[in-house]
Amino acid sequence: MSEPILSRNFNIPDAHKLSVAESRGAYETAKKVLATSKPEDVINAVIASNLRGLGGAGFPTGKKWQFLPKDNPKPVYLVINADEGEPGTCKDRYILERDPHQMIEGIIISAFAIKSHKAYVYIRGEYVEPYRNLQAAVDEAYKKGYLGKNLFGGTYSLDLVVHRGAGAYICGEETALLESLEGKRGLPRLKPPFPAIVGLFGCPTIINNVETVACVPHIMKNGAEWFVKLGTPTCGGTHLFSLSGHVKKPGVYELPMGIPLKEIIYNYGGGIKGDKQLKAVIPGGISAKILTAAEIDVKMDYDSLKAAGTMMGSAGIMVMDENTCMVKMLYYATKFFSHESCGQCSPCREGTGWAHKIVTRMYHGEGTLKDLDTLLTIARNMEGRTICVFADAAAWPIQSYIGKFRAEFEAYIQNGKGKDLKPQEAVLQHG
Amino acid sequence: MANITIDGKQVTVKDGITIIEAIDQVKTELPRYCYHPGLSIAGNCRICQVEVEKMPRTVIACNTRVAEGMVIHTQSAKAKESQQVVLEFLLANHPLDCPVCDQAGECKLQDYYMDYGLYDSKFNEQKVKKTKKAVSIGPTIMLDQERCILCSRCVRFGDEITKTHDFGIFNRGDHAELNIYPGQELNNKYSGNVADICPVGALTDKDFRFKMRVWYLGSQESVCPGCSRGCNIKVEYEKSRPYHLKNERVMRLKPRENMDVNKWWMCDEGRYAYKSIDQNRIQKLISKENGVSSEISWQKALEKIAGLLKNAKPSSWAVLASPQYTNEELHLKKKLFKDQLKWTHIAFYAPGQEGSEDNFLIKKDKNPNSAGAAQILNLNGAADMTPVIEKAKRGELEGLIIFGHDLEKIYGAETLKLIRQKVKTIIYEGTNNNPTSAVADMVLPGVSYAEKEGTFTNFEGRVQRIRKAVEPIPGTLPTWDFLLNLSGLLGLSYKALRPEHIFEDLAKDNQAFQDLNYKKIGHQGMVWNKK
Amino acid sequence: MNRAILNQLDVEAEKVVAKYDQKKAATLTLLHMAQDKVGYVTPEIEAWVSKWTEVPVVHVHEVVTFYSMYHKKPAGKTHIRFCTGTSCALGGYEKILSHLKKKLNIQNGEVTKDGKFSLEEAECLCACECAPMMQVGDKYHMDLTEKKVDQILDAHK
Repeated sequence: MSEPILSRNFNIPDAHKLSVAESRGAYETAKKVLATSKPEDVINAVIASNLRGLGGAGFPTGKKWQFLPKDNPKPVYLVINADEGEPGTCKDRYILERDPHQMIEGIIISAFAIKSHKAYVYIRGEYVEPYRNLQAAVDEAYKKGYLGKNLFGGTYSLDLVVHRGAGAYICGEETALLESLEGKRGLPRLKPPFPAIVGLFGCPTIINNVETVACVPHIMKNGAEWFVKLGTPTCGGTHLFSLSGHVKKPGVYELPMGIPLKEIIYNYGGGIKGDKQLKAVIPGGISAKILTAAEIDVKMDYDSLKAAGTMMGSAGIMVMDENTCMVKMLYYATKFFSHESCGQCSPCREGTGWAHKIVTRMYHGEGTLKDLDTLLTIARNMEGRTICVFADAAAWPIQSYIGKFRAEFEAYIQNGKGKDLKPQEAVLQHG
Repeated sequence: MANITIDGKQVTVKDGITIIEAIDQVKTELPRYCYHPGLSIAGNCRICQVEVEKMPRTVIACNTRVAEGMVIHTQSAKAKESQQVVLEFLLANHPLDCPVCDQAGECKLQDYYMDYGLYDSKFNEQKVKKTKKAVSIGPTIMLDQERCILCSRCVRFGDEITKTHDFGIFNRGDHAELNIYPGQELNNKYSGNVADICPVGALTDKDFRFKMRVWYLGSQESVCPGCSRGCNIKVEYEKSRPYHLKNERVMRLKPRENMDVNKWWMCDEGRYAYKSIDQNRIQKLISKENGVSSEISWQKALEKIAGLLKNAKPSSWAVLASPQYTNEELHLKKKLFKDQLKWTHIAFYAPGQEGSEDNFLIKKDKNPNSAGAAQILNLNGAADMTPVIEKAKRGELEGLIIFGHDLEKIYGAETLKLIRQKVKTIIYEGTNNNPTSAVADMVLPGVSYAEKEGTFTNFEGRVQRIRKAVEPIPGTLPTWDFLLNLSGLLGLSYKALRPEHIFEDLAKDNQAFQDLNYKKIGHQGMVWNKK
Repeated sequence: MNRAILNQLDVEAEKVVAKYDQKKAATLTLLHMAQDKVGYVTPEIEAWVSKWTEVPVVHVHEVVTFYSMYHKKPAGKTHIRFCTGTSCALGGYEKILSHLKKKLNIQNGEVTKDGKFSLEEAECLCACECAPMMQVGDKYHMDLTEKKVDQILDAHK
């Protein structure tokens, strides 16, 4: 790719500081938009740009903004979802830590568009260093009059509060995030009502991902058409792909929407570590269904991945080489979901724990062939029966790992691999 | 209004209600754990799955609103499969301790397993162990965390109804557990309700725990006599094995839904006051003659009282009626003592007996029928017993008939002693032994509210029925029955045979009760016609 | 002792609460603040947060037990979150975690005898591009090797 957009400042020293960021053009677009545009202009541009939610859901951003009620007397909130937590994903951390002003500028323009005067950034609790950079950036922006009353000397005012989470994956789900922001356990809310109608503190609320709002200044600066051209017909722009696992050059890569997965792994990632064979790839974070080596001829965009039976999700690509044990991988997946289930809905609370117990037993050499069917039944029964999609996400690894690698699971069970090993030793020796 | 179809039945329901509300209106069965009509929607148990045509997946009935033309199936293969798989999840970590669980017989897990489950368990793993297995969390309730299905009804009850914020769900995932705040106890005035709303055996009522299996219980509708609210209740009693429980018959009270009175709830004070029905009862009709007490028959007692009253000067006898009695009994008292015998000293109000009150259910007037007493006896503001007591103390009364009141409790032991010295004849009618009954010349054993029919009028003028749950203890006689007999001997003739007939007479006699009858009062009561 | 610390924090708490549109929203932030000072969340801290936020204390306790970052018992002077997510598993974290445990002589959820370190096996900390990794105190340490772990621990001694 020729010109980095979102990542253009990632390797600039001290780009999180206002002076450096401004020298690189930060806030110029915001100033211009606030001085010359109407909120509707921004919404129209964002709609025209085909910008989609880059946190995982891929919902068209402009359309989401339009769900806000017209003529509502209550305050409107803009909440930024910086609760990055999807295993395999690390992209938002780069923006938060290395270029927070890019996001703040995006917040200013987005909040202006939806007529909000209060924004919250909900940042993952463990991200202490990114938080510090972000908070410092917010403080600098306030000092300079880029946040607070009468932004850039104009009439529009916006307050921004950075709020730290405290360690719960589920708070990445937007209504759980709102609950958490309101000082409660992060339990996803029943929908309807949707946050655009009843959100934070009962008021209309838009929740956007860090990367999503970071795109907005670029759209306003270069035009929707330019943004559309960067991507695919249904999804504009570039995307920050997180690449991890058995590749030579893991990292965060800004690439156009629709780039072939193969190209990411072999060109940008440098191929498989140790020049081994590829076995499988998870293309969009732990929740996305796994692709076998034979299935990686796919473009990285929402529609192509959906057609391939998986999803873009958070664009966290995890690469597994030929020596990877799929039982072990499923063990890590079920461990994650059983640890992170909020425990609210019975199918998910009981199902994730139940599945993890079976897989753990299997991993330690005590599995039976019947367990595989039980796992698939549990997965099927969890799906679509809960308040949020966490249970579905928990079901997909079970279904796809067993579905695509059943022979390996059966061999593992029948060969008694792992038998006579204590759990800790088993963990050390497999894989 | 919306026209919808539930299991093939076409119904018209109010717009915007939830499917479960519509289902309840047409009285179709649908399993539920977290849903309770008196609490906010939680939607967490996921059991109330129904199939709605044109929707890809089954949905929960408690959080889906009806729409015009909606076709709902609660029993289709798709709906039942959903209900069953959710049930299997709920039971995955649930202990199999039904034989020693006090909830057995009224457990929704058991019930729905029989109705919707009946699968072979696939769960072969170690169940999650939780820390609190049958521990006391306060004066009234035991908690068993392993049985809890985390429906959060009790949490919402504490947050939304009592606002005492007692319960919370701690930790997350399958380690989530219900508890009260560490070091505190569940001690609010409505704590017993959490055992009622707990759909499983996680919260059980200490008072009832292990007393008996619920399938041995009979149940009768009644009204709590604990205060002037008149909460609708069920009196639940032992029906077949009295030997089992030392002749205690009433086992517990449960609130009964009445949206105009108590909704689904009742207070602990009322809930646990039932013991007086079976304890410390007056069981023998005692008459003292020349200082010697002897048991006599009702026939003899009635003749003796009739003889005394026939010769009594209307101004030298007094009757202390009571708002603890039914409208029917108060009506007979009024007819006999006021209208027939023309007594001038009639009162019922015991001063200084008010208790605590809140802005929810509990009223400070601890009588169930003060409004009825005032309306029926019509004493023009002279209901207070104190002037009568003063008269008695001064030796100006020859005889005193006391219904239920314990004068020592109201006026002190000295007053009772003085009255005993100054009044020649004291007749006491009531249910339980107390210092006043102990000094009476004649003690007439009455029956409790659980052993008779009648009506109470609550503080808002709602006339509500009490019903006989258990038979009167041998030797006791309902007050209305005693008064009917006595009236007969004193020349008053009624066609009344039962309280229902007395009520008809009352309705003719008193404008406030006009047009009311037992049928109209029904199960939920009716507000009287007082202008 | 806690009381004195909390009294000091009152000034800051007032500012924090004022930032939010509703007091209850300050719950997580106040818990972080108090834990940073005291080392873990005590009943006194829960009561203090309840006072500032007007959230019933039982619900403050729900929050404390729900989120993994709040310590329910004293943690070490330096708390280590060791990532055990999928990418770190692909990066072979087990060997390094095992080394760390041996070195500190503690297991998951424990505190070293000298109280200097505590260890938590964490779910994905989202530094997958640099697996295996761990968070020591506030700081992310990436691309771990056994040798690197030794150096990091030495620096905290």
